Amino acid sequence: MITNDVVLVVKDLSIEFGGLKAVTNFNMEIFRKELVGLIGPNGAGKTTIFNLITGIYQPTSGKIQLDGEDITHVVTHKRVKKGIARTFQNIRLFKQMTVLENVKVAYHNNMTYGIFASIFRTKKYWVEENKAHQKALEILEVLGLLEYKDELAQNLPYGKQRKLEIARALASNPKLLCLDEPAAGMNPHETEELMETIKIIQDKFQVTILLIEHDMKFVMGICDRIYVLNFGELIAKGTPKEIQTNKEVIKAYLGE
Amino acid sequence: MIAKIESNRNNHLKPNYKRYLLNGLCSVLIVVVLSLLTNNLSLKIIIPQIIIFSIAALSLNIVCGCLGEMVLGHGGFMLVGGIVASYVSQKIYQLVMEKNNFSSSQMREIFYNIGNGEVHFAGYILVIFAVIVGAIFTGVIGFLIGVAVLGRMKGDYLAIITLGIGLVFVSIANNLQTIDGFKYGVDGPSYYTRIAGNTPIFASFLILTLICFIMIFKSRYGRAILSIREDEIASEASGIPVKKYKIFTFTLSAIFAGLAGGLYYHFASYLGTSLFSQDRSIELLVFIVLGGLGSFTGTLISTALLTFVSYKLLLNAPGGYQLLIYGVILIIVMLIRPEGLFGTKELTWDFIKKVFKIKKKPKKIVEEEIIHDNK
Amino acid sequence: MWNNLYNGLINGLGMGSIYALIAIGYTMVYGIARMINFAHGEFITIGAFVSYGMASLIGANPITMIICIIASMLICAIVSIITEKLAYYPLRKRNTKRITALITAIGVSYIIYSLFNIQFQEIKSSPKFLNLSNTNLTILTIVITLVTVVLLTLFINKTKFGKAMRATSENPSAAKLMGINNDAMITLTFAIGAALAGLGAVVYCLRIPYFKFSVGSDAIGLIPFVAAVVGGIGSLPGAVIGGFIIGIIQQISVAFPETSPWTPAILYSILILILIIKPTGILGKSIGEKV
Repeated sequence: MITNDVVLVVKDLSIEFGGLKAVTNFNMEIFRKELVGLIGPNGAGKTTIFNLITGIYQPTSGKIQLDGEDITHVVTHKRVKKGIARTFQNIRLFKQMTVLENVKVAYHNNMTYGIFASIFRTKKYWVEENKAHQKALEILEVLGLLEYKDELAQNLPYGKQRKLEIARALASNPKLLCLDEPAAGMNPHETEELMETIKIIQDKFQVTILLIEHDMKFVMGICDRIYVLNFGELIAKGTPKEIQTNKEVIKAYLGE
Repeated sequence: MIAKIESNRNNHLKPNYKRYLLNGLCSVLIVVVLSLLTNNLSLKIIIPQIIIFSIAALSLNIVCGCLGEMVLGHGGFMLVGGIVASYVSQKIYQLVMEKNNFSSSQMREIFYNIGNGEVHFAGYILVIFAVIVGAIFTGVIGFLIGVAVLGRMKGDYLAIITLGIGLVFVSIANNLQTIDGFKYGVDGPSYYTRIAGNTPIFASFLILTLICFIMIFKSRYGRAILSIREDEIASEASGIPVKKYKIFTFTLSAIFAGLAGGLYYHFASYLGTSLFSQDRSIELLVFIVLGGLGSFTGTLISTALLTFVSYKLLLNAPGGYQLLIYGVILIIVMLIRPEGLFGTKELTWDFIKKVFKIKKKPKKIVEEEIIHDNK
Repeated sequence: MWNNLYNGLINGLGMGSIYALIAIGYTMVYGIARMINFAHGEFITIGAFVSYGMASLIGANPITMIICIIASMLICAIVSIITEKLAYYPLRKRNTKRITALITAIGVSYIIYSLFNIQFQEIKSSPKFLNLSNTNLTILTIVITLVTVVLLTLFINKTKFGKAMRATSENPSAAKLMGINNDAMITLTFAIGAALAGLGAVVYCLRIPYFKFSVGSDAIGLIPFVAAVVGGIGSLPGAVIGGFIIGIIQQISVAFPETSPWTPAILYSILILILIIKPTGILGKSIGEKV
């Protein structure tokens, strides 16, 4: 499902942390409706690249473009408005809020009613809240979390919490969905289920997906293309087949 | 098919007019009850104070409990609001008197009656106006401070800097003692003689505060603010402009703290600056922690309880014991139930229904059966 | 005017050395337990009364002063260990929020304050241990403070306990893995801080001829805390420098009648300025958050 329409362009991205070069001259292109994987040994800089793309870090050099627009210096919450959403490696849910509320939070930017409308509960308030409500329920249904909607996020089992992270990211209506190790800590059955879910998400919500993962079966199973990172540098990119037989990649993971 | 129909009907949000009416009636009832209670001599002084400090504590709770940022020095905001309100109040009184060349007795007929201490309609209007101006002014100050401070620091540093700001306010107020010739630290025009005469206003403002806070926190604003408390980074990553909302919450808190301060002036005709120093700020903090950070019901109950207890103690126990018992209560509560009386929960109509086992009418089941039969 | 300035400077150095001793307690406890111990000021009250009590028993002269200092430091340390074990330690074990520790500290301070309030309502005159001029007294207090700081620094850098304390303060989990008893180190820190406050109290009594039950919260109050933050909370040399700076500014401001009533506003404004310009304080360092 690769088109020629580019969603994300990363050009010569580098970041230094006090002398330590975490990422060096990273280049990446993601096409619309692609599913791209970012892999590499631990500490290669994958999450750092995520943080750069989502605006949590500022690069020392390089550019990031979303749908042709330069977002390199745009602040994080504005990037979400422009269409980038992410999940976190260590689950960062809003623990004491319900599942439904967690998802609704991310829908925030799609509502426009103000304080006056909140206090006096005007028609605008009810219309927009209902829309948010319906959308949130839809997303929860796709991810199989509908039955938990009024449960506190901290009470969910681990696998469901990971899915809730994804549900929340989807609520902001992203063009690009960045998943940071979505399958971490899952058993093979849950991982299979996640692969299915991601396929459904891609289909139903028409999002482009970039993900970080260590589970090779998972990565090779669903990614259209893969980028391989080691010591902050890109060492290979291509289709799963190409990556599996790439000498540099094998060297990076297994050593000489 | 059935499930879809059912879920669609359940999940459409609608204004619950019955609930609103019920809440409205209860609010009026509360205002009336509180006003009547203050006629009782022993409660005359306590009830207005409970109301006023409830407003102040609630305003602190939205920042500490709901937003999750520890803020000390809240007394400073109360002081600012009180000073501005006292100025407006006294200035307008003086202007009316001068413009119309009224004598003191004529002023009395308009605003208040020294003889029996009754507050007249114009007096009420004056109080409301002065208090609102005070609240808005405090809000502006809070906004400026928020912009300067909230973007760049949080946690302990924020707590310390807000403590410092509060103390600077108190110190400045201590030295000024008058604004444009009007003293705020000693008796203003004594038309507040009947100390509890303004209770209807106090109680109404408390209801207003509660309505504002509850409505705001049950909207997308509330969700945004709570999400910042839960996980600031995730909140930002979900599209919430965190800094903007921190400033918003802080400003809102300042407005209502200023409101409380202004009301206090119109209760006591006196703004002893030592009443708003760090002791007061800490006392407010104690109220909200004991009641439950983030719970409005908890704040109301703990404020009422502790204010009541401290007054009874002050009357019955010799000097010094009040603070001793206070301190012991604090430590015991922190050891046994650190999340406070209510935690983050509220006392809602739904909860009351559950307790008294009031159920909804079984309308749905009938409709289900009909559809079932048609199949 | 120069006279005022000179007096302010001398008094500032004198009071500053007292503030430095107390600020060290605030900063050390914050460094190791990440907690602002609002009850710390009350140790000054305890120290003052202990030395007063001892002096009434054994008389007031330079030799008994040494005994009173030791007694004061000892009793303060013991009280702090008791409060730590009873109130702060259970909270730490349960991993509760920071605000809980703060409220508990406030509770402890209320209790100590009111106990003294109930028992001793009159103003007490400070025991006259020494008979020195103001200048000489100031020199003595500076010497006491500097000697104490040097000893403390040696203790922290050279001894086993000191290194263990630093380890606990920098990385509790790693320290635990190295076999260090974190809880004991925290208790030790509290005790040292309290002892120093006790010492500071005796030195305070040397300078100021009278005190009452509220000396900890009113007379001294939050000034050492401001000093600790300005110098850099968590940093020992920071607390000392902060103490002297704040002490000097305070006493100079007090020396001139135009600025004297504004002294609290001036001091807290300095606190605010430092927090805006360099939040970590003059000598502090910052820690970031990992995503």
